[in-house]
Amino acid sequence: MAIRDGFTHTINTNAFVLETLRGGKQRIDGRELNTLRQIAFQFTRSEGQASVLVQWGRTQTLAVVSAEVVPPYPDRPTDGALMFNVELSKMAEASVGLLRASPLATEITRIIERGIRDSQALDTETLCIVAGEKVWQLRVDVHILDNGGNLVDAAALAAIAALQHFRRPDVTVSGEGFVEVHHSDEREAQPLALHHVPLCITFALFDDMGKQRVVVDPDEVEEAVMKGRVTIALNAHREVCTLHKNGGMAMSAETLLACADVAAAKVVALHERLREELQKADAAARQAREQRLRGGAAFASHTAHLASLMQAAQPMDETADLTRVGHLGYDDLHVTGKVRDAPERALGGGARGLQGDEAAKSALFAQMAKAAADASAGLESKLGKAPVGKRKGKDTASGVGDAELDEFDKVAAGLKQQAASGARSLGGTVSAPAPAADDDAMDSGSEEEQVVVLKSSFKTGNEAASDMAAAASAAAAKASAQAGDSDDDLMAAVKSKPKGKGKARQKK
Amino acid sequence: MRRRLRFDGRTGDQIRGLFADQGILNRADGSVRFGAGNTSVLVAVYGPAQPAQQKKEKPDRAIIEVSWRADKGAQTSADAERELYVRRTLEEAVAVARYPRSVISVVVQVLCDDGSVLSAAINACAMALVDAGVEMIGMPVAATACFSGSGSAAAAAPEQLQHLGESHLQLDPSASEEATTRATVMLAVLAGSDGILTMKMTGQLGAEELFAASEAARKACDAVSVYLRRAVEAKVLRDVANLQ
Repeated sequence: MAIRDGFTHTINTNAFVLETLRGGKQRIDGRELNTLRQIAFQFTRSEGQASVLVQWGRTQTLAVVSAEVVPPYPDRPTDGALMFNVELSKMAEASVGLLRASPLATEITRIIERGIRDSQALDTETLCIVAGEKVWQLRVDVHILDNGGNLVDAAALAAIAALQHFRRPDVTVSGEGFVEVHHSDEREAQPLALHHVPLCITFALFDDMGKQRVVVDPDEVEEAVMKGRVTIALNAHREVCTLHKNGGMAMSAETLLACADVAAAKVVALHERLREELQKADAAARQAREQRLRGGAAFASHTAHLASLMQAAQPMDETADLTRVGHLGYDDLHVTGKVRDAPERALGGGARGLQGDEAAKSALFAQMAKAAADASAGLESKLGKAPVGKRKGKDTASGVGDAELDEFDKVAAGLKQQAASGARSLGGTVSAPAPAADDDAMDSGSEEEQVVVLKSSFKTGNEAASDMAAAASAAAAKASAQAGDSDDDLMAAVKSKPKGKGKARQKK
Repeated sequence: MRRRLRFDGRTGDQIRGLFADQGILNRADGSVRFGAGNTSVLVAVYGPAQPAQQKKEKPDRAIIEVSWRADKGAQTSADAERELYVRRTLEEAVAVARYPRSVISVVVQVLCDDGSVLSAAINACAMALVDAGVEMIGMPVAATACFSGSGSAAAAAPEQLQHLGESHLQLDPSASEEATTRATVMLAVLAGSDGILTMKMTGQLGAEELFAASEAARKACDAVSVYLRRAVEAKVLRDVANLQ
């Protein structure tokens, strides 16, 4: 489907996105705050080259890895080279200009370079053929084919997936230094020596009248509305490979740590998914290679004979699917179940492998739940490290108190609950907001429980007003702990008035 | 012509299996990922739209601009030449007089180049333009033919020496065949019509051989046009079924 110029960014779009985030549970495309979009891979391997087409929601990127034998850099005679080139193709969106290297493309290239090359993910010494004379130079070209938001994560995922799928041709060095590169049909090509697999996760920061909201993996609408972004690259061992926050809305260090923790959980799940897809793709490539080596009849069945094709008089099989499966369609990318409450129209209707999507989502969510459990278990075993701090106006950096651990357990349980309910993704159980989300919502939630006594003192038939007043008084009670809250004055004013119910209702 | 099998089991007059995924890009007005064997290209069409610079527009017709992106490496002059071939071919096929003062932008991204990539690109452009709903006079279809074996003994590879003097016409060559051929002919026609839109010949050929190659390529073009029609019809029927 064509949405050539994307959407029109208006004041209404702004207000709609922020209001949806205020609810703390859902985003405008039906995802939860900490959910990545659907991802699909299509791998290809040919002689001396490997490519992968990554679909990340509506964003599509293509990464192509190729290798060449070149002389090494004079100051590093035993190291091969790894080059990245990210190109924002003219097909990504209609308004891409003629400038060769747009600033965004350069920024994405640098993030990927820092995340993969500078973090020593690839052992460049294994690319050496003859020290000082011949080394392998790997070239990774990433083409952004479709701009659906969050290009960095999709490009980085495509780059590292292509590097993992790539097979380096085998070489023989003769006495005089003559290097013979073998065809992959003669000698099997070798995988690259990757120490770890860095993956990027991007967070978007929104400014909702002074309150900061954070979501994972913004799409193009959220990217237009957001006020800042931060990209964190980690590997499956929860090591940070690079962190990229370049201007934009300021965020506190605690929020950044919370983001890093969420990103770590996401990367673990994504890494597992990538590993499975790579195994399948490698098996398929090996099978194709064996078929080709055996040759003859097995391969000829794929060719189209002229005569049979030209028999246009044959009746057309209406159900013949002349396109290949594997590509995410419009239905797959849109979570319609939550918006409309009809259970039979959940998750993209249509005949496009509904069960497949559900199964994939539940597998991913199961892994996320496991990652959340591991995260909480890991924290308990590492006493002395600063936990994911909830900003309560207290010093959370020193030591780990029981209160902090309880808080983290509650948050981790919320994550697990959210993951378990996410598999059905139809309303589901009410889950606690993710730790990277609004601090205030979490705090006011806990505060509301403490002011139950206050709530009952308001004698009114309108429950909503009493809730608002209770929240207002609770917020005012911790006004000293919250600096720079623009609602504080309002709450204080509301609280001081004897008949504050009506006013409170109006304010909210 | 003796029936010799090629390395992948095809005979000289067989083209590789075709596949097409239509409408796969979200932003582009029309898109298709088209492939023949291992060769695959992704084509996106934007348009008709207003040109960015007003001086570019023509008052009586649309302008077609083509951008060719190779799968790896920077753009070379060969890529610029291919852009020119695709553009001139499409200008004969698209009803440009119907869209005055507009630009139709075609972006070709090579996903995998395993031979005959220019003809695959022209076929893909035809499907992408249909997907975009651009009005066309006819469907441009293209095919490539090459001659195996070399004319001179000096350039012959050892395994070809036994067939010295024999030249075999091969349709839809793969990359390894294109690398060892002595001449390649690419032909583009409007499906159903007689005339030749575009012919690109490189190498050394006699006149009869050129004629034979162009006739064989024309037959291949007919086969490809049948496939294009079937693929487009299948997609339309599927879309209609999904709507219901």
